Amino acid sequence: MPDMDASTLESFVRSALAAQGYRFDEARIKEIILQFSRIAAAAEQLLAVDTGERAGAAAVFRP
Amino acid sequence: MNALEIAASIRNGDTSASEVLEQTLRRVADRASKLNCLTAVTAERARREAKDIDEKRARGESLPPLAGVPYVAKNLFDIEGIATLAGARMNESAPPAVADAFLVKRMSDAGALLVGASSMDENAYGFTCESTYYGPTRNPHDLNRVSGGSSGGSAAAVGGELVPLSLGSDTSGSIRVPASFCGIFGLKPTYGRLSRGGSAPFVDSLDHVGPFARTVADLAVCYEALQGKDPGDHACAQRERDAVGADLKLPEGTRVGILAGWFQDWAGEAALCSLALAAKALAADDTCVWHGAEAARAAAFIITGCEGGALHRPKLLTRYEEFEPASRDRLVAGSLIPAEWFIKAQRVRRQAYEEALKLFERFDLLLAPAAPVPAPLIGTDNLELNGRTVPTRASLGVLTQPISCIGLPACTAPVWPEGAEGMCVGVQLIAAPWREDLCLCGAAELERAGVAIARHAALI
Repeated sequence: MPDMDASTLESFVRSALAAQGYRFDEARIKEIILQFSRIAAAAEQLLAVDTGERAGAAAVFRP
Repeated sequence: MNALEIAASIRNGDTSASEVLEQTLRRVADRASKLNCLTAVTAERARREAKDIDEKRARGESLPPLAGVPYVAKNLFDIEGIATLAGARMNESAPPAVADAFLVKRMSDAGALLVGASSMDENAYGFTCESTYYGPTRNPHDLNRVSGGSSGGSAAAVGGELVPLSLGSDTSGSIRVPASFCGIFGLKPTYGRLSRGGSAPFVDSLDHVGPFARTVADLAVCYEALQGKDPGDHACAQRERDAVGADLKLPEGTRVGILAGWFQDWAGEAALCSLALAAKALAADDTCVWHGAEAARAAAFIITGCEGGALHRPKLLTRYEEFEPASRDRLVAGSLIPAEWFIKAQRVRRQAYEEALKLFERFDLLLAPAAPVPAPLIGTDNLELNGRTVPTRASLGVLTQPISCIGLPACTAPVWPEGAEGMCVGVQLIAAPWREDLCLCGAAELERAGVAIARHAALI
């Protein structure tokens, strides 16, 4: 998890859900935290890739 | 009969479009419910289209290439007069589409007869086509197994011989995985080659559309018919149509490479067997590694979560309970992704694309398995894959996601390896951007060699 341990991740998800107006019960929040942790694992792989500071953000991809 | 045989027999007067259609509707009535592959049958529309074809022929007019050929379209394509479900129960109450999607219009212009809309994973987010609300779409070669998804209904309808052609979409593998499982050919063209106009979006920067067929010749003719510029889709390339070539032969000296690394680490035994059979038939013995594949898959994962989550967030806030339980929490989680991760994913995507292009300095065509395993049994939550236990729904696209992340064209060809309990594990034929012709010609070589074939399905 990039820059976050498990408790920070959980806090982030809870705060982000609340900030975006989602209202879920505890069981649902736990499931969303699990799903988000899988996304975070993928993000960790990405953040480890050196793309260079001047790499464009490629806002719309074109092959 | 395959699509070209049907079109030829109508052109020659051996049969009529109306006769072909009525036979097709009888087959649909007999088989569609066994497979649970259609969500609507558009018989009256198809009868009108068939009548038009027969009247054209009676007047002595020349007939278009797919005249009288029945097909179905994934239910995310707009079909005038019926609600576009995109696999979602909540869309049943949506107003009927007021016009056909661009590709449906292209099929009409080519003379094809639309006989129905096909089932799919909700919002195209899934690889198994197991809907909590509509039930699973079943594999025509073993009704206890999944069809694959998300274009499962379109693949099952062609694999189950209801129709010779169908349309699907592919964001991360949703044409190539079900084609592999259902034992047919499927083409995911270059990103931007075919218009998505009038189809429900999922991940705009990853969404592709394309055809399924039982032969490469059918697939090629359908693909040619679908091409065309569409200002209604911002991603649709302003290119003239590229013909595939009637003989479907690879140019002399075509260099075929085998993708190793990620594409073999994540392939099961049967998938590796399919790959070996295809490589032998194409005289490919040189391997290469695309080092960016793993990162491309991770980038696709983040981009999918972010774009898909953002698209559906308004309804997730108000109608969460109506979403598919198997995917709604992934969508919510995706809507929380920090901007930094999304921007990084886009940068990695660009870098991975540039790395992949270098492979085409050595090779013209690349081979990889289309799925890590044969179609799993319905309800399989986890897979054992080379000593790893992985979640089924997330892992079936592990070999297709990196390719669609960077928009390369790829054709799935159906190969039937030993040790797959009579099931298919397809191979992907992957080319540089805009070289769908090479993908199709490579698949045709496999078909001529008897390595890739759409087998008859018993529906048991």
